Amino acid sequence: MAKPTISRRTFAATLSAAAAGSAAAQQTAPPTERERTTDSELASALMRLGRRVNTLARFEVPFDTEPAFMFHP
Amino acid sequence: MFESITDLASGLAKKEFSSRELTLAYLDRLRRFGPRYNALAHLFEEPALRQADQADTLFRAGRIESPLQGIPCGVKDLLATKGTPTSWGAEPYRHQQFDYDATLIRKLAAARAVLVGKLAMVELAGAGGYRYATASMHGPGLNPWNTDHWSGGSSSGPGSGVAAGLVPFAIGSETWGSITTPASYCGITGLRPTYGLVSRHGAMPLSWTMDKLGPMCRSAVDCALVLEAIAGNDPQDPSSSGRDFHYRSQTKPALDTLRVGFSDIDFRHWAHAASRPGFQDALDVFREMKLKFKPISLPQLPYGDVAEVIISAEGSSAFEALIRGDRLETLADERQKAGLRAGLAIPASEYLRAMRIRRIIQEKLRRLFTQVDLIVSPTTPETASRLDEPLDVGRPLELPDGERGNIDLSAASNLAGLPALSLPCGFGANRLPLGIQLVGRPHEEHTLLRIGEEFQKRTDWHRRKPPI
Repeated sequence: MAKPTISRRTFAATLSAAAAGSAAAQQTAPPTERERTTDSELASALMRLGRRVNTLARFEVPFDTEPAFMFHP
Repeated sequence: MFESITDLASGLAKKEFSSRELTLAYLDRLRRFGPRYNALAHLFEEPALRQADQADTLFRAGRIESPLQGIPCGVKDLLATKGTPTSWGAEPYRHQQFDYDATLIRKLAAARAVLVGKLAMVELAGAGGYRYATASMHGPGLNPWNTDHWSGGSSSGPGSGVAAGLVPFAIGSETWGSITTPASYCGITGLRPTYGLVSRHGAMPLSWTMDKLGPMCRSAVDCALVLEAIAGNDPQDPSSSGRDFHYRSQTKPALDTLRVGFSDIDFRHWAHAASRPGFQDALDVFREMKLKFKPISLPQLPYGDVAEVIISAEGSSAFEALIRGDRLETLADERQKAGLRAGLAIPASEYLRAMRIRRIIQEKLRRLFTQVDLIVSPTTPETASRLDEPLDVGRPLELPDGERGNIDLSAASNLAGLPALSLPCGFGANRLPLGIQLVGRPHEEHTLLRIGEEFQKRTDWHRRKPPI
């Protein structure tokens, strides 16, 4: 059984790192309007994906379930 | 200019007009009206006339090699065509060229179809998700029925191009709704084939495990003729199923033996109020055809979450060089850029979890399709959105007891690689077209098309023309 709390934490850490690494955060000068928009959009996108990931983390997957790679339906 | 492939092929065979004359007429129409709908990416004037002349030579010799011989067509601008731009609808790839033709382009040429142009699309087929219809280097796809509304995406040019009679048929692609949605919004017939039936070699990758290519046409029979030409094994596509498709020669199931799954939730609650009469009329036509209706609902599973995680992870991987380079900013849609960046942050464990849940979804759907032969549902619950409407804000739904019926059918069936056919079935809000979709078992396109063919014998929605 996977441990979803670890992966959620990993995702949250990645989120923080991505946000911290954004253009605005790396500059000493105040962020421009465009940089603020970019950062805000990125934060929204990461949060949205985070919600999706968290929903899936609550779903119990049987141990013997293989991923659906290149399949022929 | 709104004739079916069958009618055009008949005119060509009887020498009522030549392929060159037909091609010149469509080239002129694409040149004049393509920009009106932001539908045209690249016009193929000289190559098209060469193909038309070759077809005419065959007609003069009494040789007809395919029902598509001499018929003009367009393809979504994500298929590689040797020596001409393949822009993927995106500014960073405006001048991109390949030195080979996609397998599908070669198959159309082998069928003697005439490629008159490449048609506009949402940038990168919406790989990162997008907020506005303007997410394309060509501008927003405009709906020929009302240019204040969107044509749908991501196959926007194929949708509006076929609807406006700029091409008799087109090829679109679908990862999650990109053929069926513009088909519904534009009032045309769109077929999303089973995953692996049509080669994607030379097509822009968005999601390797979910991308499909398929026909967008004026009728179900036209879709069948095009699918016959483009389906088949391709050693250059690892996802190729090795299967062919035959419609005309294949025995079709008797309509009165077919069990059709449906849910009242879809038609009475999910469908917009202005769309419900059109959908009910369509269901009545299916009932007249003696199809056996059976109430059925998809198992409640996180279809949308699984689809978005998989598409985001695969799409961001496919476009990693763009995301990490300095051209990402030239994309048109802010949400698209952010979505692509965010997709790189998905851990492998979460992608694999989504792919494992996808396996469960496939198995549950396989079992569901032992109870019914197909499922019918609105392609989209409402007509085309306004151009200024954000696409990532859903309409609030009031569903009884949290029941979702089959409203997740698009995500579920794309995850399971199932075929779908969207048929025009009337008009809803703002006098815009409605589409109803049939989803079947893998490689049972012929069942969907047989029903579509009969539906279109009894209705004329597919023959309606927008005011141009």
